[in-house]
Amino acid sequence: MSNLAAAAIATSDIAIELSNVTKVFSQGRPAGLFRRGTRRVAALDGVSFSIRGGEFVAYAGPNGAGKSTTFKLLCGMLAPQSGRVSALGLDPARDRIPIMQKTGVLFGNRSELWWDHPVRASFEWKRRVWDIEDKTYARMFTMACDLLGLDEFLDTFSRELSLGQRMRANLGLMLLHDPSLILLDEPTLGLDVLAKRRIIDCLKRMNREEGKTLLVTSHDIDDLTEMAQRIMLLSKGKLAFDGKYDALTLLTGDKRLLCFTAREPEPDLHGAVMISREGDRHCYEYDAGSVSIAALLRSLAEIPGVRDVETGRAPIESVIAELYRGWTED
Amino acid sequence: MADKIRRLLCLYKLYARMDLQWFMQDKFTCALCIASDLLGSVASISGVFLLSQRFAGVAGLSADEALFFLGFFTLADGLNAMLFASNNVLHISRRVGRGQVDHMLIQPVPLWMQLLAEGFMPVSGNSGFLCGLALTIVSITRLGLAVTPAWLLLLLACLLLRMAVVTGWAYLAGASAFYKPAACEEISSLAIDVFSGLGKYPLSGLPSWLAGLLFTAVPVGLMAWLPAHILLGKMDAPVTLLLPVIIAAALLSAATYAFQKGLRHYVKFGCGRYRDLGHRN
Repeated sequence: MSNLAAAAIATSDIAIELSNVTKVFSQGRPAGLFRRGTRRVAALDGVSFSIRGGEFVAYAGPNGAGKSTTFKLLCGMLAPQSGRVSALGLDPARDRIPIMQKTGVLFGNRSELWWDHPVRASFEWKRRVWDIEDKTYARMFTMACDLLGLDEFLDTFSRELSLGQRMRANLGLMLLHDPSLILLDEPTLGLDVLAKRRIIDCLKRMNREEGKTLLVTSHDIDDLTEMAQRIMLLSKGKLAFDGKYDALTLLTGDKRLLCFTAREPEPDLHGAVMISREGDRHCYEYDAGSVSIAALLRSLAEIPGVRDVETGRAPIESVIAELYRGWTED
Repeated sequence: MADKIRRLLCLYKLYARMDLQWFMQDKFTCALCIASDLLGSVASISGVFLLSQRFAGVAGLSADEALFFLGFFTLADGLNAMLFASNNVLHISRRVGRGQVDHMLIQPVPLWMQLLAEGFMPVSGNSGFLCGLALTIVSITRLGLAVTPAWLLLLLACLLLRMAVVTGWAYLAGASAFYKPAACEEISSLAIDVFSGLGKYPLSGLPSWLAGLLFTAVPVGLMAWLPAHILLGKMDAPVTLLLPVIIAAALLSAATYAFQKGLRHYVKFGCGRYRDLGHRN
């Protein structure tokens, strides 16, 4: 690493910065028997944001919104058409090597493990290729094994690992060089509850105790809610939301749920919409900004045989689904 | 520079150890692979060898000279395989076409260093090299060639130039996979096959236009025919060696230019194709 690059990494408080970044792809498609047309798709369209060191940020959006493209821009795998990308204070297109020395990246559908070798051999490979100091390697190896429970399959061939084990091994491998910036593209893709739990706990600890900066994408909004303090939503290449989860829920109105048990098949609650019914249990959604809970409870009191009344915020998943639907219809 | 060489040697050591580990972990499969490679090497040159034995020589070479020619071909082919065949380094269009250059770009190591080191397979990929070495030694003994340090240097130069030609050719063709990843995924392999397939045949007696073509534009004649003639003292070394030097330099320059241009295209447009085969397979 050059002294200049090392100094930039050491002094930069902003871990990631995108300024007015645009990335357009051309997609080929047949335009007749002998002709081939192209369609231009803006994966990122004037996107700007910055992430400070030590932040844990969720990056979500519908398929094709531009999440993976952002990650590739940050790693120097792609260059933007216009705008400026900076990771750890450096330009990924020019300073790929110093950035990758301090960055861990993991794409959920890809593996860095050596297929025909035990997991331990892949770890040794990383140690040599990344030229990791012995002390750092020993500390991170122990931490990865403890947090992700790798001991049970360290000597298993990578090709023989289950999906969850493979993801844990990849995550462990990614952590070995003690990266200060971690980019994870769908790290919980296809995992069962236990494997997911281990990975989420590990990432939370990396952020809380090690001060790592994390940018994570996932389609599982509940996972993201649990992990990150801030969420950025992309839609059609544009940053549609950037803020805390509480503020996100207000985007579609202050949606609340009112659930209760009643024998009546479809009780009428003025100002609320029934969203689900299972047996005697009914769930209604209402906008707390325009309908008062007191009025709803008064209406509820008039329905015979009402029991077990619960209220709460609408799940973030449904808020985001509604946002995605809105963006698709636009 | 010294630091870069140290890193490169470190990586060679790493990949050599990993190759040995692969052998030790599954000795039977690995031995089977080596044995079949060995058989393949012998079988590929057996036609010309049998002809030379039957007719006490072939195309102006005596039977022993023909054996030396075939030995050099196998030795050079084996050396190329041992240094570059692993992890699709030589068959680079596979990596490019499968969208797997991304895996290289996340390593904090210059691409040229990765490409030089990752293909090294001294244990599992040594069969062609050993077979060629044995054939070359036998033919040298039978011919009574004087093996001097100068002659060994000449042999090394011929091997390196031949390797540069094949690698340059494979990368020049392979760069097209940056633009057409699916269609060109196997193009490096096909390009190498041209040399593996034709390089072991004697090229004397051809019409001059065809000979010219096979020594320049499609330099099959540089695989073994020309180097064997130089090493056997049938051609004047300094003058004749100039041709492979020029061709190798031209091919390597063109390949470097095309590959870097392709890589810029990859970084600009990406690769809309990813094959989850395990990116080194």
